[in-house]
Amino acid sequence: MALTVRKFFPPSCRGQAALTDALFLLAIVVGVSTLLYLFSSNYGVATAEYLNHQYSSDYITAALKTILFASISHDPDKSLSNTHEVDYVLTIVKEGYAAKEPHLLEDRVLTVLRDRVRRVMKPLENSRDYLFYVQETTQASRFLFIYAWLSEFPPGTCGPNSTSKVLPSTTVVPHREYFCIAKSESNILGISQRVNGYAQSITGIGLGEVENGSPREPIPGVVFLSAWTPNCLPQGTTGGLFQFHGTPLTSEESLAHSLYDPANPIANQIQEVLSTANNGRGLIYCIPFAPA
Amino acid sequence: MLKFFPPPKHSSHSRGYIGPIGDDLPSLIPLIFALAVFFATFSNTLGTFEKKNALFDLDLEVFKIARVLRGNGYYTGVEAFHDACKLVRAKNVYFFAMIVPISENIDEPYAFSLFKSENGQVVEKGLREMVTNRQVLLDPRFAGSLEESAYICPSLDEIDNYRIPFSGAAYSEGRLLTRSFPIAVASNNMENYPIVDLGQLVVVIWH
Repeated sequence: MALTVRKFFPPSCRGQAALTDALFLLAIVVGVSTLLYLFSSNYGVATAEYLNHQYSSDYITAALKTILFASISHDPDKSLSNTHEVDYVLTIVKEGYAAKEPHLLEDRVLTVLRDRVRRVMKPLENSRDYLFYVQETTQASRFLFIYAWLSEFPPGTCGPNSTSKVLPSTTVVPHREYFCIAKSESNILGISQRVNGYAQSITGIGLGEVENGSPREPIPGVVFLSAWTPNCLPQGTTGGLFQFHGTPLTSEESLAHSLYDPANPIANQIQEVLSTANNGRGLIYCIPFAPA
Repeated sequence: MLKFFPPPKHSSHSRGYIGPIGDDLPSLIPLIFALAVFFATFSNTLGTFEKKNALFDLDLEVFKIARVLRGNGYYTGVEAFHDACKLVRAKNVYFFAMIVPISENIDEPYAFSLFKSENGQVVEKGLREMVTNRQVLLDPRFAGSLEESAYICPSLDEIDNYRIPFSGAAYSEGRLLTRSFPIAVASNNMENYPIVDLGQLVVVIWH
């Protein structure tokens, strides 16, 4: 080794040797500095994601509780401030279920739920997509109400064949509200596998049922709320998670009729799509809601 | 004399030899440059660590404070909120928490803001101003005193003492953090049947 060094740097070239040593040191330092810089810029990314997820989780849990706790005027024509008869939202969900044949939720209940969900989720409405549903947990596992607040990606960024994409956090994506229907719970759980920052909360409820004027054993049900960072989710009946209806609903009054009533041609069309999409596994079929 | 200062082994006409300082001077330039680069990167990295850690600390403290103040998610009156406030123990941070009302109009954007525009400039709102302007939920049973009726929980006793580092930079530098959580609040005192309204528990925290 010494011989090699002497060969390249004989005593007469000591100045050059010192300079080369310094350049070597500089190269090492530049390498180390680059590593330090990369390390520092990536430091805490996982922790920040975890904290963000924790916040979403705490928020969603609190939101679901608050939605169900909130009061509503028993008389739909009176506001909370000038009525003496108030109910919890949970109560009118039960009553609305009992009163409707074939045991769907009344339009008024759907309107109230939409209003409460929107109000409670207001602080996160620009930064998260979310989905809320009420479902029977009987063998049929029917969805009584699915409401979604989804981002509308700019044209070209979220096509029918696109895989999940996330826009830069600085991009503000406009949102739109939808009323949806799904074939099974697995259609909704599919979202959690395709998005970032997914958080969900679920609680059990007893849905009332009346037979010949007297209450029967309550039907078990669940209320579910989930939120995630806006993602471009795949659409279409083959390999898609969502299918969007072209014409938006303009009135809440027609909501239950449009989505769930078997006598309605749109509802039948939706059922047909649900039963054939993704080789029978179904998807989430959504109708945009744009109140006139 | 020659005994103390012997002549150099290499004479001045040896090839490549300039002198003891002249020999090392060129190598000192990259050496010093390397040291400067290293210490600059090192201090930058350290600064980034500290900034990020400060933000994480704030985040964790927010969760701790919010968990105490959220309780079971439902407040029957302002006294219960003030009682919960006394249980909050925050380490090395200042904070205030408040419950703000949510507009009944769902198409109205979320209105809570710590800032206002004054003479064309964005300035912070005072905590007193927010309470006075009814941006904080009030319990109607205590109509006389704002301190008693407002759903507000400051880490300092006097809300007028707050000088909060409110500025756009404070957010980006991780010195200030705001988080909000939905909460249900009884908004009047109807006998046995209170109206439960929607509110947002907002926690503002800073170092």
